[in-house]
Amino acid sequence: MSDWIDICALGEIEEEDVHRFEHGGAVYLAARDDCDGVFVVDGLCTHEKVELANGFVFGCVLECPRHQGRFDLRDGRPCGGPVTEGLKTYPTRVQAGRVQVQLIA
Amino acid sequence: MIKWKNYALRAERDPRIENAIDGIGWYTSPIPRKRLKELVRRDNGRAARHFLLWLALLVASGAVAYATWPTLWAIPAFLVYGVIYNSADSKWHELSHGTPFRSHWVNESLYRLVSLMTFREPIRWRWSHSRHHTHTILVGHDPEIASPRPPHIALALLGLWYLRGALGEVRTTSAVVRGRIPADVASFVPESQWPEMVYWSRIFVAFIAAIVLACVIAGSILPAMFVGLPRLYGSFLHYTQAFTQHAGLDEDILDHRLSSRTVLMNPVFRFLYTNMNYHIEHHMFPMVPFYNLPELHAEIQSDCPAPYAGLGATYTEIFTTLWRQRLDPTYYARRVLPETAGASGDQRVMDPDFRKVA
Repeated sequence: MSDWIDICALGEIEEEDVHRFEHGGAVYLAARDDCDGVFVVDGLCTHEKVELANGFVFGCVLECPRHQGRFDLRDGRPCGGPVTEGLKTYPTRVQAGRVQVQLIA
Repeated sequence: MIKWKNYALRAERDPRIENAIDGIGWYTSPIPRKRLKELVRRDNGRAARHFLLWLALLVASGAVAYATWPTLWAIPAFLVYGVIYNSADSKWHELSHGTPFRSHWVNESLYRLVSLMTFREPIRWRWSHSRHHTHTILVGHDPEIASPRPPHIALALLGLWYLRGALGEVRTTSAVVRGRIPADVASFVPESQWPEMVYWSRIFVAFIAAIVLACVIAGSILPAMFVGLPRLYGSFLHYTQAFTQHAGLDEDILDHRLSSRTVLMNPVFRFLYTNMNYHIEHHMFPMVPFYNLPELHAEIQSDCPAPYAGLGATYTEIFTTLWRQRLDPTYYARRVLPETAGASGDQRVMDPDFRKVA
C-alpha cells in the first residue's frame, strides 16, 4: 500500500467544487460534494481528455465543462452525457483538516 | 459547382488538429470562477416554469387547431401550433447538454420526449452534438456544419421545411435500424453505443408507424398534423433562428467569437429558441443553463464582437456572404473583436489537405 500524499487544506476546496493538482506528471482533482464528502479522481475526462478542473460539482456528480459528461464522484462511474468509461478514483481521507490521497499505481 | 474543401467527415481524426486543440485550446473569455459557478447553477424551478409554459402553449394552440379543423382557420392555427412544436428542437439541444434541471433524471426524461417530437434519435444526436462542441466548424471533423462552402442555397432553403434534415434522417435511420452503421456516424458514435443507437432507431420507426396507423384508423391526416408533420410545416422559424449560429462565418479556427454568432432577439423569439441566440456564450461555456445565458452575455460582452441587432441585420450579412461564397468560397464574414478583447492568438487550425481549389 502506498503512502498517503498530502494535497491541500480542506478549506481550500469549496463545497461542490474541485481542486486541481499534479503528481508524477499526471493530473488529478480533489473534489467536494454537497455533503462534505471529499474525493480524488483523475483530472482528465475519459471522453475527450478535457481538463475536468474547469468543470463543476453538482451534488456528488462531477461534470465535464466541454461536453457535460457526468461522473459519480463516489465510484467514478459515468452517469450521463457522452461518456462510456468511468473515472479512476483514489482512496481519500481528511486528516487534521488536510486532504490526503493514496495514488495507487 | 466549385469544389474547395472536403466537408465529409474523416474516418480518423487529424492529429494536427487534435494537437492544436490540446495545445492552443479553444479561446475562453476571462471570467472569475466564482461568478462562473453562480452561472452554471441549475435551478429546477426556473427550468420547470419554462418547460411547463411551453407545454401549456403547445396544448392550448393544439386545442385551437383541433377546434378549427377542417376550416381555413386551421391554417394559421396549425402554423402557430407548428412553430411552438418546433421549439422542441432548441429544448432538445438544452436537454442534450443536461443543463436546464438540477435533477438529471428530469433532463433525461424530457430529452427522450423531445427527441421523439423532433425525430432526433437520442444516442446518435447526442454524440453528434458532442463532436460539434469538440470540433466546432472544423472542416472534416464537425458533423453539424450547416453551411459548407460554396453554399448550396436551394438546399439551405429546403431547411425551412426540414426537408433537408428529414432526407438525411431517412437515409441514416433506414441503415441503422438494419444494424448497418454509416461511416460518418461510425466516426463519432463509439462502437459500444451502437446497440443502443439501433434500439432507439427501431423505436423511432415504430413511433412513425404508430402515427401512420393512427391516421389510417382515424381516416384522417389529423393525428399526423399534431405529431410528426409539424416538424415539416412549422420548422421555418426555428430554422431561421438556428441557421444564424455559424453560417457565413470563419471556419477552422479555435475561437467561437469568430465562428459563431450572438444575435439579440425579442423575448418571444428567445423563449421559443430557448436563448440559443446567445450562441458564442453557449459554445464558450456550454455548462451554463439557457436561462443564465443573458447574464453570461453581459459578463463577457466586452471580450466579444458586438452582437447582431436582430434577425434582419443577421440575414443581411448571411445573404450577401453566401451569395458571394457561391463564386468565392474563400470569402467569409469577418467578426471584429473590440479593442479591449483578449487576443485569440494563433487559433487557426490550418489543414492544407482541405484547402485545395479545383
